[in-house]
Amino acid sequence: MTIRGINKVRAACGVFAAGLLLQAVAASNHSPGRRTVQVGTGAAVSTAPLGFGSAPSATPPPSSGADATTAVKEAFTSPMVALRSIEEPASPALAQRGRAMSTAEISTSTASLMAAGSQLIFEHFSGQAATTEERLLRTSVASSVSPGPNAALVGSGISNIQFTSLTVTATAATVHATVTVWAKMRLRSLTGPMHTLGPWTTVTPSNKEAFVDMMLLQNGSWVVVTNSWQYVPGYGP
Amino acid sequence: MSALSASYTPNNVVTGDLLFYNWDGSGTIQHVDMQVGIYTDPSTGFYGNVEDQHSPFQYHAQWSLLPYGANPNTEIVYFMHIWPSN
Repeated sequence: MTIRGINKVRAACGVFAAGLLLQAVAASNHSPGRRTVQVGTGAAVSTAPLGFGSAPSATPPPSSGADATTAVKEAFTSPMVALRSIEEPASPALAQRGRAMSTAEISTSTASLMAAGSQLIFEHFSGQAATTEERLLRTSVASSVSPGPNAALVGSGISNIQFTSLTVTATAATVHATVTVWAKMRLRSLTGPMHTLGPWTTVTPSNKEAFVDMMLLQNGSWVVVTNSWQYVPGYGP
Repeated sequence: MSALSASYTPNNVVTGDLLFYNWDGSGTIQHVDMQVGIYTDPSTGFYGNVEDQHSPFQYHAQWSLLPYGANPNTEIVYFMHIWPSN
C-alpha cells in the first residue's frame, strides 16, 4: 500500500470510529469486585477516533468500576474498528482494477498492510485471539491485493456495537456484544445462459455478529485473549 | 478458496455438490449448503451457480453468498463433490 493508501485508511478509521455509538452501561450486580452490565438501558458512550497505526496508548488501571467498564469497552471497540479498516482494501483492489499490480507492488502493499495490522494485534490481542487475528489479517490482505477479476471489496466497516453484557473484575473481563458489520462490493454479474459478463453492480451487505471476548488486564492495558463470534440467527449471509 | 478471489461461477461445481463455508478464517466449517443448479438469484438478478440453504433462508442464492455477506475478505468456501457411484 502506498502512503496515499495509508491516509485513506486513517480517514476511514476516523469516520467509522466517530460513527460508532455504543449503547451501554447500566445496572451492576452486587458481587464484590465483579461487575455485570446489562446493556441498552444506560447512557450512550462514543469512542474516540482512531488513527491508522495509532492504536490507543496503554489503558490506565481502572480507578473505579465505571472506569474499568469504560476501559474494557474501549479496548474491545478500538482494535476491532481499526483492524476492520485495515482489512478493507483501502484499496489496491479498486485502485488497481484495470491494470494488474506488479509483483513488486503486491509485495509492498502486503508488507505495509501486514506491518500495520500486526502492530495493532500485538498491542491489543494475546494468545489464541492474537493467533486468530493474525490469520484473519493474512487472509484479508491476500484477498485485498489479489482480488478476483469479477469481484472487489471497496469498503467495509462497523456501524454499531451493542454491548449485551459485560462482566468485569479487577484483572479480567468477559464481553458479549452484537456487532453490525457492513461491506461495499463491486460484483460483475453474469447475465444469462451464455454466461456473458454483465456490468459491474454494487452490493452493500450488512450482518449482525454476536461476539464473546475474554479480556485480561496486562501491564495496565486490557487485551483480548480469546474471541469468537457467530452470526446472529437470521442476520448471516 | 476465497469467495472474493474465486472465479465468479466455478465450472467444476455441479448440482448436488455441497459447499462448506468458514466465515471467520478459523478453518472451522460454520455453514453448509447445496449447489442446486444454474439459475438467476431472485434477489440480485445474478445468473450462475446458485445454492439453497435453510438458515437464514436463501433460495437460489449465488454460490459465494458475496451479495449477502459482509466479510468477503475472510470467508473461505470449500466444495465437496458427490460422486454418482457413491
